[in-house]
Amino acid sequence: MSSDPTSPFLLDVRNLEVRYRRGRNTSGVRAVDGVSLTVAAAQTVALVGESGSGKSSIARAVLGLTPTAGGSILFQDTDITHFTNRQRRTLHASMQAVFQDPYASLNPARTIGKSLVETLRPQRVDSDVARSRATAMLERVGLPRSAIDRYPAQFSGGQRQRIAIARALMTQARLVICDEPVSALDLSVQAQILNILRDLQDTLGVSYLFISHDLPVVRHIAHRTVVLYRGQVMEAGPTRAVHDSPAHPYTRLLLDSVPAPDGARRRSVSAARLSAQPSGAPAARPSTGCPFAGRCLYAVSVCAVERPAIEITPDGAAVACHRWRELPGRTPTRVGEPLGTVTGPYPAGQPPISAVGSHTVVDEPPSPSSS
Amino acid sequence: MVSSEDNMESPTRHATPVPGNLVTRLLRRPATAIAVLWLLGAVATGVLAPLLLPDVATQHAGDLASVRQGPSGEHLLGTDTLGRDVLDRLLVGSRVTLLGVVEAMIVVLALGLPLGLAAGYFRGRFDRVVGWLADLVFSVPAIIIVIVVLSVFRSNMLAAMCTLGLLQAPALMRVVRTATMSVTDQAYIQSARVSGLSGSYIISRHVLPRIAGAVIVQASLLACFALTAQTGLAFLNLLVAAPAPSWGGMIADGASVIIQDPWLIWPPGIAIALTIISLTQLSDALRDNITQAWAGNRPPRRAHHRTAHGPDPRPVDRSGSIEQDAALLSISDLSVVFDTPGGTVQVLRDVNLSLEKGKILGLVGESGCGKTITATSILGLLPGSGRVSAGAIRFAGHELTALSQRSMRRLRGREIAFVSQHPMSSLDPSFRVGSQIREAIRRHHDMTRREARHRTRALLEAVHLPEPQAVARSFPHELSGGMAQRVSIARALAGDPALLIADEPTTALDSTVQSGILDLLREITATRDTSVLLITHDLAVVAEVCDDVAVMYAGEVVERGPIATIFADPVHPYTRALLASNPHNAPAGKPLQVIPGSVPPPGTWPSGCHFAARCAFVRKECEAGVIPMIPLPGQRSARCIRHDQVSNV
Repeated sequence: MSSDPTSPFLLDVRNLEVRYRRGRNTSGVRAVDGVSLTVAAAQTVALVGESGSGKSSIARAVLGLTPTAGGSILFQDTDITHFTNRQRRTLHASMQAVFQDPYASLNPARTIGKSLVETLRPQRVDSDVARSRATAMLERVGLPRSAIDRYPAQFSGGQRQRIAIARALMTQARLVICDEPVSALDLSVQAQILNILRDLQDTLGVSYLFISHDLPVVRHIAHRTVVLYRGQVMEAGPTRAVHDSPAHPYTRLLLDSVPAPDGARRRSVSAARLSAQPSGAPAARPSTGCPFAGRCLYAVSVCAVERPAIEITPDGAAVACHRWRELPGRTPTRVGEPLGTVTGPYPAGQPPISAVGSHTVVDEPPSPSSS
Repeated sequence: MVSSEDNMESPTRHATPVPGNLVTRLLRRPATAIAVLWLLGAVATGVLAPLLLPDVATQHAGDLASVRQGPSGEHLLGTDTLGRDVLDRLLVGSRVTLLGVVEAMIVVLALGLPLGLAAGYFRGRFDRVVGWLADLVFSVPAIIIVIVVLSVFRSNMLAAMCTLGLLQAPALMRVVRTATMSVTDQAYIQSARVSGLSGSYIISRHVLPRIAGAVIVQASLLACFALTAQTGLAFLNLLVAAPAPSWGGMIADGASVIIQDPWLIWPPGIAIALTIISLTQLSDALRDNITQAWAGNRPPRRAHHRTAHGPDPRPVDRSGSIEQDAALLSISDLSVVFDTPGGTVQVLRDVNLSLEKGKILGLVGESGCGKTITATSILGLLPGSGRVSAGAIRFAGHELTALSQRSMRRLRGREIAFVSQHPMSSLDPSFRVGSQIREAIRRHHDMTRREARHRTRALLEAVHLPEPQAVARSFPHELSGGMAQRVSIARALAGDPALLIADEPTTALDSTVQSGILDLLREITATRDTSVLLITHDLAVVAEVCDDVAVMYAGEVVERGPIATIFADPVHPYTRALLASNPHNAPAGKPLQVIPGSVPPPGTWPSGCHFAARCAFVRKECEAGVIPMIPLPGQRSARCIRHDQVSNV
């Protein structure tokens, strides 16, 4: 897989596979099944999907917290797929993480200063330098200098998440893996954190691999969106294309299920939504066909037996669906915002929402699974 | 029951840690101070007594004319069967006794701690091998092995106690391993790993301090065991050669004449008992105090059982002639306080709500605003020291704040049901789903098993679970999150409640599943005429299903009314800012609107408007005094004196 060790991207994940073993002699549950994605410099790529879609497994594999079962991960032109723990330590300066639970992500027994400063320990940075950098980072995320000598218990959830972001950027990381960084936060605090993340991207040029189940948040912050279902990419492309003209039935389902805070659009119990609920026992996953076929309103017989090829839509998104061309047109669900006026999260010409990226999302048709 | 920990913590979240260093904090509690004194005294005696009383250890017999004399001026604790002074022997004997414990504990700690840490942290094959060895050691009878060792090394205490330590080490290892595992699952350990820190650094700086409490407690238990084992072996005369005193040997001496003279077993017996009690007392106190520096708050001690909810300064008509209004639930001027060591802290102030039959009222706000407290005061299940300090909660003709615990219990489940945020943890994992629903049905209705089974099935069908029979037979862990939430709704409906309180019922679920649950809630209100109080932080969820909404901020309702008007034209600046900060409504490409600052925790509320410090419309008058709820046209009201400027129009 690592035939081509150079990549124009900061992070280049190719055909990644992650399995979790259950018992000793099974081949394991395939949490991630042939996912390819790229993250360019100063870009935010969002991974969306329901729980069990493999979002977090991809993040953990990139961070080296979970072993990979196949595929390759290139980071800054280095194949890090099989790095040992020792080799990984050299990576930490450029790759960091922010986790979901702000209450668990800081050691309650250590002061904020200790938690921040220790990230520079592997680089043997002088302790005074490290401490001054810690105060600078705290101020950068909008916290007072005095925070450095306090314990996490003295901060609210939003403040702790800022501290976690400050810690991630202590080492001047190029890529920050954000695993549901705002889902545990209140709305007003969530907005603060999203603005901080964006502000830091604008000034430091950091990239984010942004994992979330919250589509409005993703729509706001991400340049590219990758929609995952049961460990496979369903649709991927520029955020605007994926959110405003979703090609895959699963993407449509996700978007339709987002409640809108406008009070004008109260929906009745729709047959489409009911039937799209996951049915009783998790259906045995079709080993060859489309993983979504069991829940799909538009599924036909071919969907159950043949894995759809990746096709590129006119909007520049890559979609894995046999029938995307035939799907009925979709009315915009967002009230008061006609589709035409929607612009991307950044003005055009800013970070590369590259055409290259959309083609390399899944760079080859995944091989039929062996199990 | 109480799910949102944020709301529960808030009254004490910002409590300052108790001042003073560890030692002074420990000694502040008399029981701990006594324990420390006893242990220090015992150690000092163990070191000094054999030096000061060098003859005692070799004294074969004392004054044989005065054996087994009770306490007297000459012999404070009397004399033993050979006429030797009991006090002298007790003091000198403490050395060998305590030394044995120390030897065993050194071995236990040296083996159990590092092995447990390594097994819990690295897991995998190492963990399996260590676990296997521990099981092996566990399976051999420790005392018998020690006795075998003693038969080889006669009266060699070092060998005996080291063997005992070796055999006890797995007991510590197991505890350390489990505690380490739960700590290493925390996100901050993963952050540390991602930061490239070495395993030994993470273990010593992140893991060890966190598990210290468990280690201390377990180690003290093992020390107690070592003490009893040491005295037991000495009792059997296996450890200490004849004339030298030890506490166990003295008990043996006393036991041989227990019929004639029961006194002799008391002094060593009391010494052993006090030492054991002191060890456990000290370890408990140490565990509590070690965590105090960084644990910003301690949970308030659970209040003593109260039958009524304390004083109610406002006269409430309890004669039963409550005026008939349309509302099923009506809360008026409700205030709730928590009694903390630093005084009472108010967490709810003048909350007014009303919910009609068959309607859904959304209670929305950020964490720490008092949403869950409002719900728990309706249920009469305020946590900790919380109590209703003023106001009334009227529900279907009852005044809930005046009801006894017993009548409240009858009301809960039957008239008022509750659905929590975590469907999985609200179901008992060890019972089948069907039997849990049947249990709820039969508690509220007089039904045969057969009827209850039919009703269970009907309820599971009513919440649109496919194959209700199969679901009834499954265990909670076999269900997905959405299915489990449907099951807990079905169980809540078992008593045909008039009011269903749903605390963040969809927060833990995927949005695709959430929409189904919200549809279900609407269907329930439509078909069963049940009213729903829906607590959520998500305005979009409110917009989706609710008829009316009450927005809470820092313990107050700041705006309430029908949802259409509130979403179209919010008149309270907080509601407005909350809607604007939702990325759903944000214009693309621009930073999100932000409410500066954060929600003031209870106890730090300003005397004027609670939102004043973060408000864009703030004026001097806002901070002058309590802002009342101002009624506005269209059945709405807002707690803002500048509502006409805030409005769109």
